[in-house]
Amino acid sequence: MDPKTYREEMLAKMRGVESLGPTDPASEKRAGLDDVDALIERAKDPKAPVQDRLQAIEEINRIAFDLKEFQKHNADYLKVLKELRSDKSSKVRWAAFERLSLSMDHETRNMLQRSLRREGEALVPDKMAVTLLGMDDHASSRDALREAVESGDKTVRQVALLGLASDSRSADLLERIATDQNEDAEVREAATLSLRVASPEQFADMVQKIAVDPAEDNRLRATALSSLAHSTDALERVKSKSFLSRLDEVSKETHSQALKSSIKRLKARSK
Amino acid sequence: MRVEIRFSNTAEDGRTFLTWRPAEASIRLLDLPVPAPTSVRIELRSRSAPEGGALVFSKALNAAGQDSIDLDMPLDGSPVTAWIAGKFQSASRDFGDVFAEAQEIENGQPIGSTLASLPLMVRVRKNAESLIARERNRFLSAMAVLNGQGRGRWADLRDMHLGDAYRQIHVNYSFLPWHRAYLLDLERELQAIDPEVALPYWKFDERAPKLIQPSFIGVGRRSMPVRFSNTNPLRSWSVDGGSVGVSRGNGVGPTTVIPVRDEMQSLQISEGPDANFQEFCDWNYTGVRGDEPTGLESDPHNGAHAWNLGGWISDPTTSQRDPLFYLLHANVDRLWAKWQWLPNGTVGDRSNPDSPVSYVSDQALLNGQNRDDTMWPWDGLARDQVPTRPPNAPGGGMLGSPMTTAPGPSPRVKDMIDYLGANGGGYLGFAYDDVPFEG
Repeated sequence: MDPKTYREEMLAKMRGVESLGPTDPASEKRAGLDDVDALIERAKDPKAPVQDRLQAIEEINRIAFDLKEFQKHNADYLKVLKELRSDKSSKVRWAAFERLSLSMDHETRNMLQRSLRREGEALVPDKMAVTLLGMDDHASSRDALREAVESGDKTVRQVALLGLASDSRSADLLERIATDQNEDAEVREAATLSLRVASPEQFADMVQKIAVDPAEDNRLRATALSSLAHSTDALERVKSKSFLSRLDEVSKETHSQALKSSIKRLKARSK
Repeated sequence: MRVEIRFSNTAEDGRTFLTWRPAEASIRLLDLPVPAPTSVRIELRSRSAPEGGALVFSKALNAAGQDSIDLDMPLDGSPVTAWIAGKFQSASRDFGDVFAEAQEIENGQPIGSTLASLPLMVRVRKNAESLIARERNRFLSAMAVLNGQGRGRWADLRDMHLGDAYRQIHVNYSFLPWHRAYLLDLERELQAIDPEVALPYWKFDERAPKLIQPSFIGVGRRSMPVRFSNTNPLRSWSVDGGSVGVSRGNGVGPTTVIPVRDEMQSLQISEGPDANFQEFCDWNYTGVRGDEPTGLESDPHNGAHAWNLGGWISDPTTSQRDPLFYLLHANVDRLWAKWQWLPNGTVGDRSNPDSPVSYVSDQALLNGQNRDDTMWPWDGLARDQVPTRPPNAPGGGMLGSPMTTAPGPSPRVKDMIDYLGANGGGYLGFAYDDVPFEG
């Protein structure tokens, strides 16, 4: 369309829209900074319905994105969140842990670690604890994550493995799980993705073995090659002609589209 | 006989990437037959591959582009200048899906064979919903490679948006120019990996069923890392050698329309004869009407972050860890670009780097935020030199682009205003699919 005509259309469209007033009736009820004190009161009120309390926390979190304006409420809000970590409602408790973890609060981190190790009451589900500890990525959480890898259920193990990526001391553990054909394929994938970060050298060696092994899980091979293709450090280590030509053969032999696609991507990146 | 079409700016491999902004090209005759003709007139025109881009041509930068133009060519081989741009709303998907062609004409009719056929790409930032699989995969792959460089350039980009920088780059008037520069730096890094990539945007006032998918930017989950498909390159996403995965709440799904100002409402934040950047950008400006809400930074920007309901993107000091952040901000930047263009095209006051309405003129801001200031961190000035600045200046200068010389390694606030270079500013090398160049 001609830009001038397009502009006229845009202006006409704009004139047809009601000026700045809210078009969404719900937005009129949306809370703002002036409502924070009341929202805090509602969040901590044990007699209020849980859903209302959760909504209050959600509203405060949204308002808190404006750090500057929220500053005057921040200390009060953090204090309440810390109280809510031991609330009777599990959902309120979880919401408090989620928010405090984002601010990398060390006390919250310690509580999550203890919860995961069953030192006292389990305050949040293990799945949540490993996720929050992993994203927080603090060295003090690594022992707890390693233990979760060894003892948790499948989902917990997967998430805990992803959380160990920054720990080079966990590289052997990650490699062991990534290469263990008796392990669940998705757990092995998580270990593979983390190994790339924890030790590009071990990751590169491992990929070279599993990528050309027809007995290996195709999805794992595809994941490993795709991850390799996007890792500058590891890719440099495997750019031998023999490996790349062996991958050509794998691509011809396999029926897995994901594996073919990962090989194509890696070859393109190797040029 | 043949015709050479040469652009002033090309990549090392000779490829040229265009936007809606015309690029200067010199056109000349080569290998004239013997005996030489007495005159040669050529037609410059666009040829598109199926579903490919399209071009327009003009004889001056600010002249309206035509589907073809005729040029009388000097027989001594000296060049004639023409301007070539992407035809608005006809962007490319791949390099080489559009060609600038030259053919001799006589009495308005083509004669002989094609004298030049130069492959090009009309590369603009598109709505993520409109990308085809190839475009999406190229973007994801380039993001993953950039991220896969671990503590390299990715870490610089992350550190430029940390909490220490909050007051330098948020809740002040440089919010929009600073983030425009930040996105440009990122996009140039991506283009250094794959020149066919342009940063897509998340049009957050509409549903995004293609973008918010495991195969694209992933689907946020409460208390679990973002879900990516098995083959998604972002599956390996790691923040500076930290844990693998992305933390994002479950507030935005494929069919979610978040309750923020929509595009039309955003464009009206400051409209009419008194419209100005201060009112448009401001985070808490009460404006001339007295009772309207705040400016663009507050709504829709803050809401677009916060309605993800948790995870990195819902906190301004961690949001840059999430790849969705860059698509969100591309949309905020697009809204600014559209507001700049809307009343008078790209040569209007809102795009003029020196106009009072294009930025703030009547108050002294912190160092790095005034119109003529160079910006942190690209200028390398940190707290030890300027007390109001963040303690460090990570990353060095802004990456250059083979398609333009602007803004240079140390951009000023004003360098971000006229991004299409229509109004005296330097062309920054990007454009949005729905914001034309209109001289």
